[in-house]
Amino acid sequence: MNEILTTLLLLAVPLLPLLLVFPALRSRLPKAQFVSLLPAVIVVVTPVTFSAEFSWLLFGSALELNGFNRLLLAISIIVWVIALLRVSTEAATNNHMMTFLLLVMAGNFGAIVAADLLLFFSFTTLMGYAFYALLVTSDNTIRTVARVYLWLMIVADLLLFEVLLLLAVNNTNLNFASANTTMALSPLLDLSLWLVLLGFMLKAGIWPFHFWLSSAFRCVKPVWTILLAVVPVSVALLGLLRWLPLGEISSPVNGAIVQVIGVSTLLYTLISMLKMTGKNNKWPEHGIIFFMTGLFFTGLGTGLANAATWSIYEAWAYYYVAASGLVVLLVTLSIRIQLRQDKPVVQTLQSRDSTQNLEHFVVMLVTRVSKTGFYTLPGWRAWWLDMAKHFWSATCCWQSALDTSESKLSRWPVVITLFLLLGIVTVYFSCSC
Amino acid sequence: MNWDAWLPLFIILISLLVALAIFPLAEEKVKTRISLNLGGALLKLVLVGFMLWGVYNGHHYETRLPFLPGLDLVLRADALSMLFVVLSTGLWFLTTVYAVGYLEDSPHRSRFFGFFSLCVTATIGVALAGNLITFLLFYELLTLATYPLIVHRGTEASRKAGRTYLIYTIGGGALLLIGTIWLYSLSGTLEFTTRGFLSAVDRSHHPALVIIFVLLIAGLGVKAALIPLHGWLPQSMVAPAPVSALLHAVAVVKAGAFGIIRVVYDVFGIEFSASLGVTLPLAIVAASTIIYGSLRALFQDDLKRRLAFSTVSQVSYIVLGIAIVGPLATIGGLVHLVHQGVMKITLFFCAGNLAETLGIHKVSEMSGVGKRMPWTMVAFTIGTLGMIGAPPLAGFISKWYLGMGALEAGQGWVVFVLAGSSLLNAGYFLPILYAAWFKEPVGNWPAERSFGHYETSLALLLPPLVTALLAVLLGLFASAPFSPYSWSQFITTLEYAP
Amino acid sequence: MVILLPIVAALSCFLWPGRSIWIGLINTFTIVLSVAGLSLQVVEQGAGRYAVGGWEAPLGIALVSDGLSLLMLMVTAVVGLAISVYSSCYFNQDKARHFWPLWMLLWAALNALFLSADIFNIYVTLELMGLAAVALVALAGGKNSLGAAMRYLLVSLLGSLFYLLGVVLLYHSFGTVDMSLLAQRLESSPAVWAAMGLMTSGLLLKTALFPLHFWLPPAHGNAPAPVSALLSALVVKASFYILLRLWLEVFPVASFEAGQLLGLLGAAAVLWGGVLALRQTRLKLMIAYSTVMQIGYLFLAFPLASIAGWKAAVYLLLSHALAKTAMFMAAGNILLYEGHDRIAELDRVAQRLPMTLGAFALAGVSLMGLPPSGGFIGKWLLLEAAIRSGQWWWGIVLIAGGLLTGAYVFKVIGFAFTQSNLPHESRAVPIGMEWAALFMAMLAIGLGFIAPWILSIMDTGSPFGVATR
Repeated sequence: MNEILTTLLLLAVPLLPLLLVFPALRSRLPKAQFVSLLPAVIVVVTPVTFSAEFSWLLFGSALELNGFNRLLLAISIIVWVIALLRVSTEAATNNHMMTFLLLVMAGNFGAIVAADLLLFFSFTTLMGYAFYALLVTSDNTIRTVARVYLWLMIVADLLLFEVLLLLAVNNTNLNFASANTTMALSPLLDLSLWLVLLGFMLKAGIWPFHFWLSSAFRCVKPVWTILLAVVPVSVALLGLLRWLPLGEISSPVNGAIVQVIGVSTLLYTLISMLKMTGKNNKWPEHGIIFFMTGLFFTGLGTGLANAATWSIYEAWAYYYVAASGLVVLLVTLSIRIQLRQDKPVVQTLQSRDSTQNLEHFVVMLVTRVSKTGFYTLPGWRAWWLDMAKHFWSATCCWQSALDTSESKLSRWPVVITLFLLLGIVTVYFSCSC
Repeated sequence: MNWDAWLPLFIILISLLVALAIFPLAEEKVKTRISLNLGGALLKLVLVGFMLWGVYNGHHYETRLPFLPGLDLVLRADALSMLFVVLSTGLWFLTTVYAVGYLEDSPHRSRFFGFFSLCVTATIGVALAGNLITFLLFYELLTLATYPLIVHRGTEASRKAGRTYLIYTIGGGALLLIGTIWLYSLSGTLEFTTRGFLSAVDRSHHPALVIIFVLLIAGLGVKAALIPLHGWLPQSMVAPAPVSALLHAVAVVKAGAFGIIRVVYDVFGIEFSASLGVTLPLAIVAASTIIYGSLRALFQDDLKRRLAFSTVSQVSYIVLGIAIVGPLATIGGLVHLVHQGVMKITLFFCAGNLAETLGIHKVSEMSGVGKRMPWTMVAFTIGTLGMIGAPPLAGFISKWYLGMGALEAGQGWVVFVLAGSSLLNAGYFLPILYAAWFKEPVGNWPAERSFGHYETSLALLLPPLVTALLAVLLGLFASAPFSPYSWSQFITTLEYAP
Repeated sequence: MVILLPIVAALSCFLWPGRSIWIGLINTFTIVLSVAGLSLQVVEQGAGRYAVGGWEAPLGIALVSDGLSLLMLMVTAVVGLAISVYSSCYFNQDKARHFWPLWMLLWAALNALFLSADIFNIYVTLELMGLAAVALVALAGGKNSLGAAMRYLLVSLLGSLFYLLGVVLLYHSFGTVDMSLLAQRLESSPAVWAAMGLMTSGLLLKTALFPLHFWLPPAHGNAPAPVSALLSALVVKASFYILLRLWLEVFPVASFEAGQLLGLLGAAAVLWGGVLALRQTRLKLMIAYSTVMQIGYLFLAFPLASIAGWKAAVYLLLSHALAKTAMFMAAGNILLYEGHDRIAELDRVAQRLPMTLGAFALAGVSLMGLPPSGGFIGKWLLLEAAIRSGQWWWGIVLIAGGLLTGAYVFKVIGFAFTQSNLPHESRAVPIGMEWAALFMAMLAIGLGFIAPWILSIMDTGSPFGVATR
């Protein structure tokens, strides 16, 4: 009994929001969005370690809620409650928005409780796509940013998929613990490490892949910054913690590089914040996020470098991620309160933007390729067809030659000659001399 | 009545009889025709289910009829043929329902459905063929049965498309015939045997065997749309949507891919092919097709042409899976046969819905269609995401195994091809989704028809939803005992076990 | 019996023109029955030999029935049945009066030819057949058909003359005209060579092998549809049959080069006929050129000189007879329906005459050699024989021929689906004609499934010589 209840509860955590995505079901339930949080709340509050295994799902997966991700789940719930409260008026009119919100929630919760790589990957993919849709539905001005986010997310997914393949070749059990061991023992450790790191860096907006995040912060309304912070970023950080075989390997070189990246993030954040404070005389809230992620990365680098350090501080990392979510929440709230007192500030999109640069590059590439596709290749094809047509009309001359010879064959003198010739030749051949 | 010997023949005869019965029906006898069609399809489903259960329990179904001196017409139900038979029959039923809804009030429905049933006869025959000559027979019959479907509309464009189709397929058939006869003269038998029957052939004939392999693959590659033999496929999109769905997901293209599977595994044997050195060129051709198809698809505005090039690209996944010598890649290729069929047919059903209900033929006209036809677009979205390879849909499973197989066989470059293809897939599918869901409609739809309460008629709406659901389930429950994935595993163990 | 019956019928048709249709039909059925009886007898008892009037060779006329002649008789009977049914609806009273006696005479000649066992008898029947055929061609009236008939007559007489010269030479050398006796007594000598050359070339002229095919398209294209069917299916095959018999029984010492020559001419016929068929704008002319091409196929068996090759050629012959009949009948239907047979203006025949088009398509499938049809079996056997004997290039010609056939068959079918620019009036086509065409076409396809049975019949009496050859 107990096992069934555990399994059901765990399943319901991501599945209930998924079910409530359908507008038909949602309309029957008052305050559906809060109902979907219910299983998560129950699971968080109950002081038991939940775990459930499904061998028939995908390649054999499992869900789990232990001490580490419980806190993160709790913080996520709080953030979601606040976000839902904030957008409830808007969402009442925009049906799509609620759909996508619930999808993101489902992905979010699922990623937190997932206990094996593949399920985690599936839920983050769901979350990513839904988040993109959410961004686009809610606010048309951030379309470009959303597109960049989507593309980066697709590339990140590809990288993570490659890692999954590399791991699965050696060991089909993709439970976090065994996957970490496999990665630690694999000869392609460096490759796998960097694939994972790059993938999640793209998702989390760590420098130098941060541009989409900063543009997003600039463009969206403040309430969304909360969601932006918690949803993609914290899940990505969680992913880093889960996927990397920390505590089992010591790789000083890689660790050092990661530390450098973390420190550069911090520096970049400080510098840009100082620049912007100087301009607007306003404390930009998104700086906080970069700060936190930068710190995190530095810590990660240290852990990567030295396994022993990591085992001591492992629990702290999880708490850290949870805490950063909380911190961002608090900061944002305070800024909102502050904003209410100030005059509303019109947010304008800065013209010189890293996003613009990246877009510009991509657009140039696409135009060049399409030029080849539109002009050169069809040009060759047209030239080739022309040649074929010439050849064919030459053949047409053959066709009239054919007709003339056929009519010539019908004339009696020709026929008689040929006939006699045939007779003579046959006689000659049949004599076998 | 010895079922074991006659069941395969019965299954083929059912649709043949249905076809012959439908041909002389007058246009107005709608109910008779529909009941014949659906009745035949259901009966076939039941019988195929029976046969599947029988094969699973170890029954040996084989029909043998004398055909030529020294060669018999053999219909055999082994594990591989059951994979294709079940796919064809199931999707057949859905396509029939769809076609009934699509062609309402169209002229010449009796002719259409007659040839439709003839087409399924040929496909099941291809699936159940037990030796190369039987395969050849039904393969050519497939060409003949699909031609009238392509020229059904009778316009100049469809005549041209039909002509192109014929040039390609009859040429391919000639190559296949030459290869088969040559093979027969070298080996004296044409029966499909697991792991091939050619390893006993004398060493001096090996160069001839390589040429035969090329001939056979070229003949089969026409239908399987390998470059540069794929030209007929985008052109044949002038046919009505059920025909396109059929051609791309169920019958023609899959028959070509299935033929390649049979040739590589049951005629040559995978290890023998590897020793001949023909698998690497095949893999390269397949990889080029994958990339080329996706590239061409990026630049198409017509929706069905875009889907056609996508098919060109996706079917080569199957060929790639076969060409990589390794059990995991084989599983990937085989399972993709089923999964791609299900996903592609969803996409074509949705495209047909859009064309039939709103007159939309181009991607640029698709803005905002998600509001008007939400369920169709949901099915389309699921199909698209499956094609891109998003977990946990069906497409992900096949890509997974293809990638793993490539790594296991030491062919790492395939993984790059797969990744690039996924990116390209996203590139030409996601803008469609974006336009449909997030853009506002521009003006009126080209040709709107109202179907009453639902967004479109039920016969048009339910099949894509069913197949989309199937795509999700096939992915989620891949490890379940009866899934295509487990079945492919079963087939692979037969092929590779020592 | 099978010979007497049609002669009687011909005479009675001549005498009672009013009832000719009925006489013809009844006669047809009786002939079919007697052929069936004969075939049962042969299958059970093996090859038979029957001396007319009890006088054996070398003086009397003997009739022999082995597997090959039996098959020819059967195919003649089947085609004859269909033609009779078709013609009963096709010709109006006036023409019918002339048609039936001539057709019965032709049938008698054909049957006698297939059963003959000596070469002079063959000559007699050949002449009779030729005359009857010429008269049938001229039946349509009009300048074109009369000109074609005249040409055909001259050709026929020329060919028969050469053949007769050969017969005379042989008789003079060996004192007998019976084929089996000749086979025993034959020895290489200049007379024999000359005879062989003369007879071969005469027969080639009558079989319309390239480059002596010029008379065939006008004759077959301008004759009425059932007559064209008869000519293409049976008459040209009769002279091929004679050539085959001579080659196998009387001249087994035929050299390698002669076979190669015939094969070469056959290949040229295939390609030439195919390309020209593509270029035709009239349906019946196209089908006539298709006959030229298919005859070329038959000659591809000569360079192979193996039993499998001969069997393949005979199988091709059988399926071609059935398919060509169906095709000409379909063309006749279309001509009747639309008043013209220009291919480019076929105007949705697919919708208006579905059975006819179905017959045409099925016949085309057999001609192309696509499975499942008799043509495919013949093609397969011939290809197999070619590859086994190592002369694979003939196989390439065969494949190329198949592709060319596909081109022109599908050209017609493609046009049949579309709408023409000019409207045409249409007359109804009698249902009997459509069914006859469809029946023949289905038989051609069915021939693909009964191959083992037919091949075993071919073996009775081993007309192709014993194995190892």
